[in-house]
Amino acid sequence: MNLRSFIHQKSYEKIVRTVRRHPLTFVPYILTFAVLASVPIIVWWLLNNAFSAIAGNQTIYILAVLFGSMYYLSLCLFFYSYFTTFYLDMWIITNDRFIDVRQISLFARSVSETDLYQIQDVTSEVIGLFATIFHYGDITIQTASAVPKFIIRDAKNPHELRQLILDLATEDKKFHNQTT
Amino acid sequence: MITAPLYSLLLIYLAFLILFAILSIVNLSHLAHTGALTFVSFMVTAIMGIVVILIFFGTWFLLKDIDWQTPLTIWNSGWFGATTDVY
Repeated sequence: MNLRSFIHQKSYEKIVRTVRRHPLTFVPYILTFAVLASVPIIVWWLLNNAFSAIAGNQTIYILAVLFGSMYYLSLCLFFYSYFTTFYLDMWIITNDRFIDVRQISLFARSVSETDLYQIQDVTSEVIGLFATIFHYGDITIQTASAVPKFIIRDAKNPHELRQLILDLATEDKKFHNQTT
Repeated sequence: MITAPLYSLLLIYLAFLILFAILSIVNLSHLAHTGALTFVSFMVTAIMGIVVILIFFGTWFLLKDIDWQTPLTIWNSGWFGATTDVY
């Protein structure tokens, strides 16, 4: 399935931009997993040095290897799940709608959308050292629809994106004023 | 004394691998169904695949010389108290 069928793209609709979180915001996850990956190596080193008799036992050795293998596979799986959750958090801007896809966890997802002409106010914020250096931040969209507020988190170039959303919303409002 | 062959540990490992495979497929299907099959997701999936293969290779390499028919003592009453099995 491609993005067009995922959002049920209308015939007159065009995807203007797909926004994802800035890749830099994934770095803390990578560092956390790197630290967790080093734990079995440290434990095995400690076991070998402090309790060499236990480490020499064949059954303990087999259990340690199998448990270590399961630990690393679990780590891979958690990392992949984190990546999926991170990567599937996305915001799709078309010339007609704004679609917010939030992958909450592996088995939980929420999708909400609003028509661009219902957008009332857009605010962009860049807070923090890294966000300022690497130009990413949050964009808050206030709407008159059933979902009053959308937040795009850690988007690249938020000020430019805010302007884009405002321009598209203005265009859509013009179109709707003509047709009604 | 209760014993089981050493390969019974592999059955537990196999059960874990089945769960691992199912959850990996769920992740992949999420990426496919959300139209997120991009270069980035392909690269991360490829790296994960390579790492998983390396883990399997490492596990096999470390356990290749093990005799899996060796009995593994699960319970021995002698562990607690006197030598009750020997008279």
